[in-house]
Amino acid sequence: MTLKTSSRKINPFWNMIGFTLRKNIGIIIVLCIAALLYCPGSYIINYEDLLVSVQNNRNNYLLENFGNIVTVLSAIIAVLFNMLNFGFLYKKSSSDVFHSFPLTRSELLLSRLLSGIAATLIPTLICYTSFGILMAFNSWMATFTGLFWYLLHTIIITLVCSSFSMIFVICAGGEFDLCVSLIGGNLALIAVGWIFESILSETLVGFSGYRTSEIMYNLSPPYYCGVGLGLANDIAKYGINGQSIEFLIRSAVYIIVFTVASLLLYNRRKAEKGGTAYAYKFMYLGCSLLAGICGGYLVGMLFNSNVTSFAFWFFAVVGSVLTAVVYGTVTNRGFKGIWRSVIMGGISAVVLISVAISGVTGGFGYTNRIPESSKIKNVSVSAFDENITFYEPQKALDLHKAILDTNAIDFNYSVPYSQRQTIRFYYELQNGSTMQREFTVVESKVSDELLKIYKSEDRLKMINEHIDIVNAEQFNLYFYHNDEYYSVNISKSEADEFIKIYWQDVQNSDASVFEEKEYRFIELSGYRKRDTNRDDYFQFQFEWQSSFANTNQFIESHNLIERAKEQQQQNEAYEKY
Amino acid sequence: MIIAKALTKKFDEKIALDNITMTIADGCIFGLVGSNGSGKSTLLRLIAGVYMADDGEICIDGENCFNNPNIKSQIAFLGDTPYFLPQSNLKEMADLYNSMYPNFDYKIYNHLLTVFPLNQKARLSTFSKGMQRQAALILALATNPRYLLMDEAFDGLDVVMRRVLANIVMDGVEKRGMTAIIASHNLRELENVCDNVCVIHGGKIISNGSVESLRGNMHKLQVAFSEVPEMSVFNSLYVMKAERTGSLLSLVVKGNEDEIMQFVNSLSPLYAEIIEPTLEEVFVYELEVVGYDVKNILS
Repeated sequence: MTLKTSSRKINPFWNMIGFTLRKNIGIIIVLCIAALLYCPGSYIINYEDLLVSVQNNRNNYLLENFGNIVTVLSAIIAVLFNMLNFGFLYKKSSSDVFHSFPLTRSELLLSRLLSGIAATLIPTLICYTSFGILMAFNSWMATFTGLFWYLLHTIIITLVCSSFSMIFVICAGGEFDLCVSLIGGNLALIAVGWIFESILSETLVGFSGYRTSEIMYNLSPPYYCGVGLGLANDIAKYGINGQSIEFLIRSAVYIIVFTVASLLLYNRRKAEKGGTAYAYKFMYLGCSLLAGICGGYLVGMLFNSNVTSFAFWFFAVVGSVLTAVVYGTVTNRGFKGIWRSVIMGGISAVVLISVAISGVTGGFGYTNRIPESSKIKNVSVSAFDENITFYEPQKALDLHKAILDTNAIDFNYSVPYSQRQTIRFYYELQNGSTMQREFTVVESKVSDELLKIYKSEDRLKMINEHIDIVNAEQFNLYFYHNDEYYSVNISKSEADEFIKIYWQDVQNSDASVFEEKEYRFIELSGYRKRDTNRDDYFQFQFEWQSSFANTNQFIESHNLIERAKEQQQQNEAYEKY
Repeated sequence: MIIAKALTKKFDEKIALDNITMTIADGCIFGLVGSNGSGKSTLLRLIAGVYMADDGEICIDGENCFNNPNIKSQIAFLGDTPYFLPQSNLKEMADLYNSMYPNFDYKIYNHLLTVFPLNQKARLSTFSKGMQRQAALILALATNPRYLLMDEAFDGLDVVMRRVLANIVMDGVEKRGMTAIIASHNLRELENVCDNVCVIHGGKIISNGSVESLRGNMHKLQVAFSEVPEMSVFNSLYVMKAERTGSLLSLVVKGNEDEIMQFVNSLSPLYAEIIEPTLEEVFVYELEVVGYDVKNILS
């Protein structure tokens, strides 16, 4: 007996995309209306306010605000659409229907994912198009190039978030556990980075937290996307640069990797896991570990904020186990598997303790490691509230070695604040990697090396580069004298003279310069022309020691105090007028 | 033809199907019987390509069912709990099925709407359990499937609708060569519909064959005597079960019907009659013989 059918040629993959879009049409329309209300709606209504705010806030302020809001919302909506479109995974009856459709698992995943992305991008593009149309009539709003780059970043960040969230969507077994793992897991990951940084900063000598953000950038896609949004701001201001191109390429790779990972996980996902907490155990274990670490640290902190104390660690261990048990109880909807939760809590505590032990024991040579001179491309030293870059690293290396050799490190802040200083070394190595160390030191023990840095030509170069006096204009000196603050406009030649005179004082100074702790400063500010069509404000603070005779003389000889008073009167008169 | 080879499916530690090997011929109505949790729904989901086998394989025309759109386009799977998209009505669901299944036929759909009079524009969530099952049936049948898989097919339907459904299924098998696989824990519902029946218990096949062959030569014999003879008198018959109520003897006997009656008549009974046992009774007796706890199997 044969089957009588009139088989049509259909494409279930595209049909599923179309159907899902149609099914979500109500939400899409609401989002489009919201998008139009935001832009052009709110922009037209607040036109005058925006004009003022653009004048007060320079450099693509409007585009930054617009792009950041739209990107964040777009990413969130993409994730919500994924949660909505893949809700069928979490119920046996719906799972039966969807998985019996004539689609491969990959087709089913991609069709639902793409329809979610399309539904997200429709209102997003409406927003951008509206902004572009407004720009066409109001060129002061932003540049089209900036808008294009922002749009590209919005799309890329949305796709990264969407594809990344798919891993959680597939690994979860129910909506509740999806929310817990997706929101809680990602927040916990960032929190764990901060916790490790906090522990190491209190246990590891020389530890500098700069790597934490780098590690989080590599480990946490939401954090990564946040950084990407910052890059979009830079692109809108200064145009495309290497870091942004790297971000875009890397994001494209992430999208592919996350999507492929989702496909692999989905193809191996057991349909019968719908309704359980997690379809894959590793998601539960990972979240449990993160929960244990966060919980342990928080409970420890509640009882004793000193991470080197016994009380902190006792309660941290208790907290880790308790948190893991609570998480396990919530996940398993009861006390089934409580011993596994206890073990996970124990592992979390061990991880926390291991981090602390590695810190106390010098971080496997972390504290004493100094790069070889020949391998250094350049080194920046942060001292005296300045950041000085040395392309000849010897002076910086001398200081770094002196800090380690002379026991100058005051890790526990045992000397008074006035006698110590925090110094940070940031090495860029020839092989492209970086290394950073940060020490709080007793100044008197390394005063000779510090003085070399203080008087170095590299420091003068840094000052000159920062002020860029050739391209700068509208100089202003702001200083504190006899219990009063003064602000005075000076000419370019005066600014140039001031820097030269100040530098003479620096060269004449000796180690006692570090002992004077009555902090006074002279701030030189102004505007300089950049490549963009807008001016860029700058300011630099010069430490003003009482022993700086030439600087004192400069203020007197140029009647800066009198001029400041006159200018203030003129300003007041102008304001009244 | 559906062929399962050494098919095993586990849910964590629990073995739902244990090394099952079976064949389901095309163009028949195949009944899957077993108690709750016996593995019949799991077997249906494996055929439908919803579940992935842990071991062994299940194939249709030599092609594995899992992740195979070509095979799945020929299967309509009706789960034990009907599912419809949130806020949807029957028309929208029909559109979805139409866009998914190449053989979806609106003529069948419209015809079935006359058989099961449902408002296709009303929200399916407002339907009663029985109406939802009817809606799911309409959708499944409208896909014009080569294989119709129904889990607890008659659940929630009233007597009339059960008969209508049975007729529709039989009609599909007869006229279109469809193969229907119906899982149920109730044998009585299947015996008048199915050509073949497979009993599953604890993930294993206990019995599998045509209804007739399973019934075989088993007979229920009711005999009344003025003086009931000793049971040893019946030793020449293959008596599987015997019960006495006063002067009435109820025997389950295997053998040729004529020979049995000839022997019984030789004992000069007041009354003697042979009754065909129901399929359920056949299984009860067979399973009791092989030592299964029948009450648990056919609950």
